[in-house]
Amino acid sequence: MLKYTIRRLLLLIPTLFVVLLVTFALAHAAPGGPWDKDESKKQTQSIINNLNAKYGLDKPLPEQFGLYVWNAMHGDFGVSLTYRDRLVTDIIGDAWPISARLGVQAILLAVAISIPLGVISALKQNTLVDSGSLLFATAGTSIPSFVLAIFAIYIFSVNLRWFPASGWAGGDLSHLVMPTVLLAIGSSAFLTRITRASMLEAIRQDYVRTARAKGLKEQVVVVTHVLRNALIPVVTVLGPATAFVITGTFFIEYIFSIPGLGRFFINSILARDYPMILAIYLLFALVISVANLTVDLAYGLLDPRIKVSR
Amino acid sequence: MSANLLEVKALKTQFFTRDGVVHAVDDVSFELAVGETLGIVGESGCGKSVTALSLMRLIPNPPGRIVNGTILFEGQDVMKLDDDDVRALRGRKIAMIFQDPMTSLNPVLTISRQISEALELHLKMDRAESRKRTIELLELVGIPSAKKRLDDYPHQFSGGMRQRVMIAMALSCNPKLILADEPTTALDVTIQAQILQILKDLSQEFRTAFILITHDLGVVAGMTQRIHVMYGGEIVEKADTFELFDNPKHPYTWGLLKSIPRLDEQRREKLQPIEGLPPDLIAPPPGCRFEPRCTYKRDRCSAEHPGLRQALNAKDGHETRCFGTQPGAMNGWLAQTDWRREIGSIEVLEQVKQQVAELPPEAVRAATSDVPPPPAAER
Repeated sequence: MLKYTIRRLLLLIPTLFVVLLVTFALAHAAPGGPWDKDESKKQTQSIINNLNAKYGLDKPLPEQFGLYVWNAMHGDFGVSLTYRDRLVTDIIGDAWPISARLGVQAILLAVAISIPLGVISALKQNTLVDSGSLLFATAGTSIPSFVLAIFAIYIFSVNLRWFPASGWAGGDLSHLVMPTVLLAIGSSAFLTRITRASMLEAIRQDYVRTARAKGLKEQVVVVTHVLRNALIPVVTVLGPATAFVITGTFFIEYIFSIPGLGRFFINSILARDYPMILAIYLLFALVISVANLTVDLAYGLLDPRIKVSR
Repeated sequence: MSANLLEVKALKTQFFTRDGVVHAVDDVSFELAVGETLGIVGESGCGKSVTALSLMRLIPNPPGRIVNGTILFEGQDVMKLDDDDVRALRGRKIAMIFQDPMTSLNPVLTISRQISEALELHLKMDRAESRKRTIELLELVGIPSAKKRLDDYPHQFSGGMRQRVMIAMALSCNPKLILADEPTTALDVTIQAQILQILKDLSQEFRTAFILITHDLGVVAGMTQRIHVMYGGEIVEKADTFELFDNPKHPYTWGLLKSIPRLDEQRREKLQPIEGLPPDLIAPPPGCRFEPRCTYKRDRCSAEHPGLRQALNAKDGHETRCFGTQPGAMNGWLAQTDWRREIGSIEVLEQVKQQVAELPPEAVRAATSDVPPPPAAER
């Protein structure tokens, strides 16, 4: 297992290299550049040339890429072209922990809601509980988070005054409640459906009948025989879902003015902030890869037929 | 037969589906003495398995429900027990061996865990005791180096070995009755013979009663004392095993016998299937359920539903659900029919019959290896 983990971690290097290459190529293929955003200040060609020279954008693209990779290997991801006095690593170092904290809380809450809800609605198939959970899942998936967020702010902040409408306040709990819950609703909606579907699949298996024929209580049958088999597909989607949520979400962070990573996903692209784009997508690829590796290792624990080996 | 272990009376199990009510088991009655082995034979979908599941109250509800009948087990009506009492029965007094050993074991739990479960539940053993007993059980069913294989998972076992594990599981609490639902169907012929031998030895050693459910007359031949043939959710013929092979009465039984493949045949002749399809159990034929497929039918067969009665020209207790074999209006037009001529070569049957008569343990092996399951009898 250790050998397998090391091998998978080593495989990350070529994966991340390819991600960098593609991101670099696409970012530079997009028309425009980092300096042409500011319409108010007419920038003469000579200023732009100077800026390009300062940030190394005048060099041929292959050289730029080579230089970037070389520097990145030494921990230097460059300076943001938008916030010109800040290192990319500093920006991410400030913003990511906030997104990660929010994301981890949200995914934990989502799991805590969706797995019990999915199990119950599978056991009580076609009852009121089941329909209720279907309604929740459909609503949670189809209503965009910014719509829910605006309603939530209107009800809980403006009218009831339970929670502040926005801000982070250094991670103050009351500021965290609404974004966490709203972020969790989106993820728990589809996790509930997957849990329900795989529970229904597992509960019809022959070995469940065998377990019942032994005289086991229904709760024991569900917990020891059904649930463990049913969780395998849930774990599969949980990995990428976690990766998405902990790297920051644009809408929720934007609406609640949370200084997380989410806005950089969009803003860095709009601003053609090449070092920022590369660093953010590199981080995203890294998180996704680690999440997938974790899922694969978890398979080995859940299902003895899947041997993590070689 | 002083006190029967099991008495089933007028059992009726139905499934309530969108297309209508499926009469899966219709008015089935039989009894079983302590230590007795009974065969229930019939093609797919005739209600054999549903009968077995009904006995343990394992019919999935919804859509299924036992709508009528009494199931007296050791004098106690299983139908009237509450859920806790039924669970106390399952695995402890009545155990079941399922058809497909590939899917009937939980893939994510070790063998020892799955066998120990029942031991810890019913016999209140602790981990160490149940582990010891599990090793004994695995040795009993002939799993080599049982101690080493205890913590293996089902996927590390072959089909035959898994079925042995299933048997060990069923035996674990010394049940009074084991329901074996097609225990050898998913296995190849040599393994079939071994598994049947194990079941047979066990039934003799522990005086466990068995109900052996199969579509394969060859399997029940060497194993059982009595055979009930089921068709369309009903029992259509009841006889003791020798009598059934010696003097089968119901045209459906003839059809089953005819469709046994013969390995000793000189030329490759086509198997003789029973023409037509099994009845639709949502709207069964109003008369005899076999009537649409029967080549011996008369007008009465489609008009009236025959009851299960003593057959003419047969041993006492040999009952059929066929007007042609019962005394009555037409005076049993099939009673005198020579079934041997009707079904053609009976060479293999004669062999089977001989084996039934002798009934030494070896008979099972011969009977099963000569007579693989009749594919023609299956849909």
